[in-house]
Amino acid sequence: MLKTLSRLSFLVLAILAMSYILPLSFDKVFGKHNEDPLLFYSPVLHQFVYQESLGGHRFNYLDEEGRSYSRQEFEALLPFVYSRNLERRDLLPMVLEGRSFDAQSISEDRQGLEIRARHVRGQKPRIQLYPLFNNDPQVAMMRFPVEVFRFTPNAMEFIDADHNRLDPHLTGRFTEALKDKGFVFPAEVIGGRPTNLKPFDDGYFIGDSMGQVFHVKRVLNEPQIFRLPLDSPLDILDVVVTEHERREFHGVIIPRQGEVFLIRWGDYGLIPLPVKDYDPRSMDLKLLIDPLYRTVTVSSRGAVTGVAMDAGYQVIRRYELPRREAASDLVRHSRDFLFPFQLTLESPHHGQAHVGLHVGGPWSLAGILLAFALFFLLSRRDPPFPANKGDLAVVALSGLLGLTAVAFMKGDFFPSAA
Amino acid sequence: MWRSILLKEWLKIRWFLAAALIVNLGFSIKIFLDIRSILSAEHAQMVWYQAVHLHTVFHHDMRYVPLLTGLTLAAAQFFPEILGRRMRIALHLPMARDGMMFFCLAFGLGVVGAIFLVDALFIHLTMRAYFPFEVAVSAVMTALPWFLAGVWGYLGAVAVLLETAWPRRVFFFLVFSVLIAMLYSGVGYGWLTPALPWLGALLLPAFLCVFESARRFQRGGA
Repeated sequence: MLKTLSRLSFLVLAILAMSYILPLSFDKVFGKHNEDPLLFYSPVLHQFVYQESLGGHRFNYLDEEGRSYSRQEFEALLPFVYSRNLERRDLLPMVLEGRSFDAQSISEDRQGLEIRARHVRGQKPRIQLYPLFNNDPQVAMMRFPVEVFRFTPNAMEFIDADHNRLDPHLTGRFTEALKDKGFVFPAEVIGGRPTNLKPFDDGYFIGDSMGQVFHVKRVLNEPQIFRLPLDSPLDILDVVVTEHERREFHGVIIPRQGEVFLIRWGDYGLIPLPVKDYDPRSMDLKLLIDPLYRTVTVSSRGAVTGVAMDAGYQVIRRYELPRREAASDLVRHSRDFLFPFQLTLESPHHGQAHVGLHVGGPWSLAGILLAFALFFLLSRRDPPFPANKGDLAVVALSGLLGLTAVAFMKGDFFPSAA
Repeated sequence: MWRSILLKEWLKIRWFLAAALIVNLGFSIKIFLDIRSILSAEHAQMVWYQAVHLHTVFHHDMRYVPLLTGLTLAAAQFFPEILGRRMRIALHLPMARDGMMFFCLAFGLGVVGAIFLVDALFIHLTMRAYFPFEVAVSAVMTALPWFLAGVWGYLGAVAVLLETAWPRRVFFFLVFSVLIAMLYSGVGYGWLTPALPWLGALLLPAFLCVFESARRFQRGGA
């Protein structure tokens, strides 16, 4: 019994190790690039255009109808994206829709925001300790506070970094202020930017256990708290705070399923972004704002979808660009043939380890058949490579990987050095 | 009989164990002194910022020490046994081969585990002295894969040492090297934490596969 278990244990370890390292090495040799195409809404063509990577710093520049452009033509179609280059080529100011735009006006009314699945809460390690910057109009620089805060089941605790102990005064002040505003502990989600490398501090947006959202700031060491006027409680996955000089919105609320809301500056109203079937845990989202339009793109496994909106966030055009396989058919089929499955620790959607077992396509069956044939051929060699049902099952499940492991575990296959 | 085997194992490893303990404690003290010196040179809140938001791992220097410890103790325990195939004498004692292997491995793993427990305690106490509880827990979780690498290293080294056929020995070495390399994947704190249950579960097959090597060793490679 122990002999069988021991042998099987090594086969399992060997197959797992090979299914991890060999496909990785294969991809390194045969370069499996899969860069997202860059999708933009052109205010010149009034349709989507995109840049597609061919690998090796070669790109295709195309529009929705498949017309191809040179790099310079492509830049001219996107004056708000490539304004600096166009300025050097004396193509600015440019008149679009009756308005004239120079590099300065474009740069003042442009904003970009990217929410990658791998950065969303739960997809990467995050220690829930945050600095709450003190907003003091008399001080120009944003000084890093000596305290960090955390949320416990019934308090917003501040810990003094100099002494590594609780600050009871700030803890009491903020906890009471939150309770006064109707906050129900514990906090479910905390969104903010814990850095002083930003133009100004906009505090944190904190979701409570009842699906309410509160804007929490520290002004002259006192809490300044505002409850967002939500129509109904939200099941929030994450909140992203932008702190951008345009001050059009505070940030983005990402509920768990399929929606995205901007938090409007001023009245804290929610602006829904028109994204369909958006899964924040497996898709990347980009919002690009220019003086005339807003474009949101969502990259999923199969396609990149773009929605162009006017300045009032009303949809004016949608476009879906199917993703192209970066690797050639030969490379993909060879990979499937050799490796019926792959063990992975990394995932493009996670900023931490994510164990995955990826099964190959139909070509894997051909690889398994070849492994079977080799298995029977080897079993006829002298000395024989005795076939048993267990080994046959291992080869059936893992193809050439299993055959390699079985070959190394056969007693007579490698004579003893002793 | 068991006491005699225990004494034999102890005599083989005692000096190596002392050296491993000194190295492990030395690195633990180094980490404590490093963190203390960083905190005396910089504002505490900035060091916390580095630890929490920039994902700086202050006990990074420790990461290969457990692996080195596991390999050293495995070599100290089993290298004398394969020299001149001395272990065959022990395998002919009036006790079951698998029982004796289990006993020897349990002894080695117990010693390795005890050292890692001391390391983990030192890391936790050091971090707790200067950082909030969350950071101290995260530091230990970040170090867990390194300790796991030490245990994998120990079991892998035993399997490789007991193996008699060179091609298979090389294959074992490669398999364990890949599995150990997986434990050093990622950057920052807690990167491997979600995978730890899976990687930890593989300890059982790693433990079991050593018995196959011992069986072949006793039979001279068959």
